[in-house]
Amino acid sequence: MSLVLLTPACSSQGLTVDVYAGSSLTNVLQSAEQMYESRNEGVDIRLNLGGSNTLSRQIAEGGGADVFIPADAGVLDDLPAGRVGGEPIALATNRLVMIVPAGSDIPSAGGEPTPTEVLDWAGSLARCATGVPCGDATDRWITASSGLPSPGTITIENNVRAVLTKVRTNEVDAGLVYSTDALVAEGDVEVVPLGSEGPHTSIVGVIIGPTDPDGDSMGRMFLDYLASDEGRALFRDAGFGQP
Amino acid sequence: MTRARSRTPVLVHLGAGVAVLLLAIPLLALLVDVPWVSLIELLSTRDSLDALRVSLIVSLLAAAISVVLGVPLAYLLARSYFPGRGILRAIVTVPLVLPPVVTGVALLSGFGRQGWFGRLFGTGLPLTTAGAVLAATIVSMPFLVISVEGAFRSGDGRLELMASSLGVGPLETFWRVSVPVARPAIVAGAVLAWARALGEFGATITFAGSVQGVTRTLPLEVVLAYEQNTDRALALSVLLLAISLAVLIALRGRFLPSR
Repeated sequence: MSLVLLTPACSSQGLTVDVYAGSSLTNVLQSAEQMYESRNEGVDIRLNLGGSNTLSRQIAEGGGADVFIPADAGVLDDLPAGRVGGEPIALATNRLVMIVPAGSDIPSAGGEPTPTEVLDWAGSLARCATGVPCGDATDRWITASSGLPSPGTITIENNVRAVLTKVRTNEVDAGLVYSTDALVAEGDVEVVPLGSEGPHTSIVGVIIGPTDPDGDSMGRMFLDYLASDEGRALFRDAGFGQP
Repeated sequence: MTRARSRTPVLVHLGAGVAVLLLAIPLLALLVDVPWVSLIELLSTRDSLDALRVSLIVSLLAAAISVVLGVPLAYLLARSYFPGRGILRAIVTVPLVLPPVVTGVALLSGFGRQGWFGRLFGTGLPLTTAGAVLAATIVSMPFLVISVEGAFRSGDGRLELMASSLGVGPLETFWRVSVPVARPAIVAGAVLAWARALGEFGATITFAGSVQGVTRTLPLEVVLAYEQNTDRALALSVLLLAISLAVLIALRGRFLPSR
């Protein structure tokens, strides 16, 4: 009884917007949430952050999302067609970079070590699993750049923030994350750019429907805010590229 | 027997029935969803076999270490009186209630490359099988200690007193008298500890990572496979379920009191 009273009451008044988003968007969406809620009194942006594929599955199984912002647009292909309400809105782009713990002493022929030199030096590497957006981007990079050396120990994580943590705590010698994740850990990690082969990902937001019409219109307003000049600035400040 | 049954209140039956449903429904649903036709094929991939091997090694070693170190600890907790015993017991049992991820983070501080261990020895246990065994041992040993401490405590110490009055030394008394008396509890505790170690996930992924053939146990492989191939995740889950059930049923009949 109390469940019936508690949960839908909030959303049927259209005050709660459930936003499911990839873990690489954690910081920028937390800032956006704060800004948006302070502007729109009574509106509660509720973030569900995690691996984009896991979230996509939760939505497919009937999870109560109003807005979905995966780490890469490709994840949307897995959603049942009936659940995507309207065209995706382009919000930002991201790119894959290599990171090493700050202060790593990597032998290098030039001034800055190249990814190949890092992999030659590193005894251990953390990367995302194939199937999650950052893992697919990692696979694309490996395929594009042939003849990469492979560190002896490779730990495979289910989301990009787990990779970041492993490098940040200096438990592995190198990792592959989005450039925005590297920015979050500035000071703890150093970035080794992947150069022209470095894969990009595109971040889009979609309305998830059609279960909750009120939530949908509120969700649309939040997405419009993210795509506005102010929203774009938040993404830019967090290190994302413009769509 | 008949009389005992007739006295069981209806409400108790009802509660028990709901409990059985709650426990059985997800397992039955899993069995229905499993792709039985391609099961062998899915389980004989290199990744699956590696995970099975790592799981067996890690869980058996964790159970063995739990017995070797946990039985003396349980004896100390049950039979010796010293200041701070309550605190010691809390420290021993806290992994039971702590989220495994927290245990994993604590393990990093203690045994990570940047932790105490790393500063002493220049390298850490993460990304090694030893690290996975350590994580599994810490979360599973409390099950053994609790089970065995109860058995030591319920013995009143008269047998030990008798042995020592006959001139048997303390170590021999412990080994020849106390341990055999507590044996059913030790076996039960070892099985529980092993089962917990087999299912361990959070501390392992946080502390030891997910290195194929080294630290990636079956539960870690299930989560990984779930991102790529749901069928393989289901097949691995049913394998994990089969191993657990087989051992629990086999040991229940042989060692545990089955009243």
